[in-house]
Amino acid sequence: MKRPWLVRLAVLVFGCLVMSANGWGYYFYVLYNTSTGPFNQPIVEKFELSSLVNNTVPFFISDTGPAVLAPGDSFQAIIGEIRAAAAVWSNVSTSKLNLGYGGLFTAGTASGSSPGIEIEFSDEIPPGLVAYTVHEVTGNLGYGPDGLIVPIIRSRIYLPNDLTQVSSYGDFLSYSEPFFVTLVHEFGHSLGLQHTLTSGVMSTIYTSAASKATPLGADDIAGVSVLYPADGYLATVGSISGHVTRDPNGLSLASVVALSATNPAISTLTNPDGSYRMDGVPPGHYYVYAHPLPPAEYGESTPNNIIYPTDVNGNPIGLNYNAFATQFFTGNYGGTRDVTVAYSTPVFVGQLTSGVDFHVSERASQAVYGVRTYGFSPTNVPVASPPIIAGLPGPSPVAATGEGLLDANNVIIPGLSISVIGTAATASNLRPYPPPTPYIAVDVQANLTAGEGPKHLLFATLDDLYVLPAAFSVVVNAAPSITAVTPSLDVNGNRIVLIAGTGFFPGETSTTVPVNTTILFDGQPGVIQGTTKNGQLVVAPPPAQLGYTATVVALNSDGQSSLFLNPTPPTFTYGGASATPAAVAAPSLTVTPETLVAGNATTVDVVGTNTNFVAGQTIVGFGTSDVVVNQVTVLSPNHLSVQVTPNVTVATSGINVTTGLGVISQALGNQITTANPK
Amino acid sequence: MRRLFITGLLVTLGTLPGSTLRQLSLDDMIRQSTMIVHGTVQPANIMYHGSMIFSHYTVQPTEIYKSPVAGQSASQSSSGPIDFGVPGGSLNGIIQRVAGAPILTVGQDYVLFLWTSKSGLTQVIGLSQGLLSVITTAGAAPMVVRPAAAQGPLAATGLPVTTNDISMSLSALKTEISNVLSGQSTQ
Repeated sequence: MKRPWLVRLAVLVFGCLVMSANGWGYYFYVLYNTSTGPFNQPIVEKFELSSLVNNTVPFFISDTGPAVLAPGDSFQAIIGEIRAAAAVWSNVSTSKLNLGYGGLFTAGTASGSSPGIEIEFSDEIPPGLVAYTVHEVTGNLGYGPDGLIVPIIRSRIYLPNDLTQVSSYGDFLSYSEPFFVTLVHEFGHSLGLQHTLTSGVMSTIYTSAASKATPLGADDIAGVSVLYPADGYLATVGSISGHVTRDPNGLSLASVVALSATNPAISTLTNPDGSYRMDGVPPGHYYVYAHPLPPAEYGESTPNNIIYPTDVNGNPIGLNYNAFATQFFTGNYGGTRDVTVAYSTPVFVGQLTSGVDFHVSERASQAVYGVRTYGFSPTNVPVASPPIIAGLPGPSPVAATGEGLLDANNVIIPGLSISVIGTAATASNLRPYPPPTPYIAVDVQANLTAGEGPKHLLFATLDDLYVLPAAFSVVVNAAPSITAVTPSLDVNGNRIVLIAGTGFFPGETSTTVPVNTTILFDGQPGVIQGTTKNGQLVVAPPPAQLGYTATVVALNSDGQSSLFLNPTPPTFTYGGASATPAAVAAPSLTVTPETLVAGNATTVDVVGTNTNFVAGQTIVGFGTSDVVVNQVTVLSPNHLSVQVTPNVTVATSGINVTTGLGVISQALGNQITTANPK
Repeated sequence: MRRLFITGLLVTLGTLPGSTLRQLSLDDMIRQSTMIVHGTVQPANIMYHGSMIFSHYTVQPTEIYKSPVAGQSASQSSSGPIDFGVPGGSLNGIIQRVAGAPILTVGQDYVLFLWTSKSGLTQVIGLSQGLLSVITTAGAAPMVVRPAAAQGPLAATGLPVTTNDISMSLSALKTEISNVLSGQSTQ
């Protein structure tokens, strides 16, 4: 493969006297500027935010939508969930990255020449695959404020065009946990994050603990924050560095994880020479362990489906080991499988804790890997990395499946034991499920001093160790449950929704970790205005057209969802059942000017008919990254003023005005359909 | 009773998805593929399909175990090269990479579970799930295994980084394909 970066690198590299970092928490798409070493200065693929307005990467959604929707679903609901998934990454306060919805675009045509992300619905996704993401780069290196990078010029997320035939899901419903977590995961790829093994949203499903309520783990947050750091962020966190070696050589792509009872796991992979540096680690004390990547499973093309780093000639640099015994750092060369004697490695703000080295022994294979845990809600809904309520009188069963737990006869591997790391929680009564169900179970109990949040399990065999971060989560409340959704009006005649149920905590602060409830309407949050005398939540729903029906889901910030108890959520119809979309006058826009001229900052005047624009909730996009929207001013429910800067002459783009769940999309000068946000 | 119910749920959970990949059983692959071919691969061309770059290969069949052609029987031999695409590649200065895309070795003997989309693009089913290597050892029956990691530098032991979550004789695979397609599978 031709590598133009080889030549360009020679020109650019002399100017790069100081590399910003040589490692991170998490793992990125990596290039090394050498074919012979030293391999300790990785260059990463990322968006060059300094070339974008307000550090915003625009994203666009194919205007066709999925060809086939699951029953009861809508394209508007899918847009709402996609926007919510993007907001997950934008809302990471320690990252300067923003993802901005730029409207609908026509798949098959470029959504602009400037960097951006496109979401398409494809018929080319084969069975066995739910979604995937592609980076597009030229191979040219760029030199930005953070040093040398490989700029991503476009990322594309492909979702199935038929959402009723999604591999073994069948119907892939937009409100569901898997749909949302998949979106967040794919957005992570689109930004430059690879798979990890620390149970965050960027884990493969085999170990993911991500949920709709708490999609990001500490590793995900560290990853995006180190890739796109907010101003001053790196001065608020520390770093860990060291080597993983097997005499006499360093191990390539070994995973190093920093774990504590109070801070979830953060990890990185080693460079080809065995060196590593994990940035973005919050100050505190950590047990640090090194473990091998698991073998490729179930048709993965590489371990954990990692895209290997490449040398300057484009040659992939893979693993140089089969497996090795997982070990915790002990402060010296030995290492241990006993976490109780592991060294508690300190991390200080703005400082590097170096010399966290591991000397490991080769193994033919890893004893245990790819473990995922499940529990059951009171209504017997299975939940991955389940919540365990602290202080219950009896234990809660947690099931686990993975490689190396059972033999072919469903007998637990001799010597296997399971324990909880560092908390006042216990795991006992290890047992297999009856054949042929390939699961084990343990009883987990957490007392009131366990502390809320993710907890980690140790799977010890006679000669190896497996650590599963965030195997379960300790909570102090039951999951939220919605029992009724009632439309109403407030004293001013504004639409509100009364939400009856249990487990709601609007602004709750009485627990150690405050729990807050969010009410979602097709992924978009309502505004909780208070509670009634009988405990119902009073919620202002996001705007949508009359007759639109949205699913209603409650999420608590402790990671629990009303979907845990009610997998089929209740719905809310704007205007009541009698308000059908067909009975509602369609909105339309009059846009002036209709043609935007390159380079000219322009004020676009948008006059709506049958619209209800809302300050702070109305978003305008032109379906192309070549038109940057600088500001949207809502002058009235039917009048917008939009400040734009076109990068190229745009004569045929459309305009998209989104208010809550209401979507108006029309070509400039050529009015077409849609919804009336009220 | 609750335990039985939980067991039932867990059986269902055994196929819980990846955010990207969903594990297909061998029988799933047999049923959902449009063609199952035994042969060696050669690189062909690289082209766009919509906004995606696909690197195309051809497989020269030594046997076809499942054919999209109505009436054509399994194990029918002899056919012209069959084209299929692998997502990702480099074309006109643009590089696209897809995690999990099959990594093919030219000249390697494979059993390929292929799937053709509505548009006519043929791919390996489940990204790399439908890619099985045929291993021939002197004096032993040919085996099919699902290869694992693409080979990086060998370990100090000289052993490749590999795991085989499907490993069976080629004849057993052919029998299983035949049984599934005739509705006789016991899996």
